[in-house]
Amino acid sequence: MSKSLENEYKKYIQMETPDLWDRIEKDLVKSKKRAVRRWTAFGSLAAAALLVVVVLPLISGGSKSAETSVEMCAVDQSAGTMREETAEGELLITIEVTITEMNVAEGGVNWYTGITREGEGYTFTIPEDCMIMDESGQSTFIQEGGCYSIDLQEEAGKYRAVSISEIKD
Amino acid sequence: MEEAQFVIAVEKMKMGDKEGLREIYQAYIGYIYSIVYQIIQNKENAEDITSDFFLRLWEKAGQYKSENGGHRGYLATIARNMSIDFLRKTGREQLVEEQEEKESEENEDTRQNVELEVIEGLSMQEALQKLEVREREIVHLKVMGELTFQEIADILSMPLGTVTWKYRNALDKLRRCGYHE
Repeated sequence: MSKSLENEYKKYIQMETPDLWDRIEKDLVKSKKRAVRRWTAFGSLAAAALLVVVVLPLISGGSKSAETSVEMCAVDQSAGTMREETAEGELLITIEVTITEMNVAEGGVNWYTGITREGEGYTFTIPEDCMIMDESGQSTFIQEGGCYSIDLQEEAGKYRAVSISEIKD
Repeated sequence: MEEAQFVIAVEKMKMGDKEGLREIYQAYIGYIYSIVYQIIQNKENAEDITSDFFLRLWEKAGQYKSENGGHRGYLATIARNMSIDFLRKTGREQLVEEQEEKESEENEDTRQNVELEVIEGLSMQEALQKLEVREREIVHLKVMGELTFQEIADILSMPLGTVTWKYRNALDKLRRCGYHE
């Protein structure tokens, strides 16, 4: 007896297909968390940039007599490096480096080393909450030999990465 | 799922409502999994890619444009590209082509018999094994995707005439196995 191809084929496909919904749903939650973290990081950076560019100059310019006025200085030391000092005396450095060493464990943390085009070396840690972005704003991984623009914060003579963006040639 | 229903589901996804993705999943899990499996030929990897497919659909919901043709062709294209990318990354692209050739040679005698004889009473799985890889893909896109021959030709990057010829050939073989259109 002849059977309907369409009906029998659909039944066969239904029988052969695994149920993947639970797995997809779990991955969806992870994906949403990653997106929230990404936007939180972007938001923090944007807020910090706004503070530096708009608010702080207004404060320092508007109350010259105040002893507590914040003085920011930005000095271009080389083409790819910028240093800023905050009111609290913390040093913020933006560097463009090629990663030469990764995951060198010392003192219970992993250290990374990068070298600028001018040959200046920086060793720093990357905290778990530090986002590493590619040029399209997607989360990515740091790789040896890769080029990155990194915001470093100095604390007690040691550097900690605040944000990392991949630079493609 | 009609185009309008698909668009509504996509709108839900854009607003962060996972019910939209669930609706698309329920309508197309079989369609997508089979497209992936026919290329990958490995259940575990096909499941991984199918899961990733739905996550990608969720993340890229904002990019879907209804005017670019039907959604079934759009879904099939993404699923095929993801599967081929996977094979490329794992260096198995060549293997699939070799497998297709080997299978083609091995099944030559069987296919010739099917062309001559009527072998009724075969299960659907057994009947599909009488088809070439490309014939199976075309039958799948036609039956499950309800695509036109032109859409299938575009997805598979094959001439329209080859697609229709292979489809007719596949139908002849399936008819001899007891399945009619």
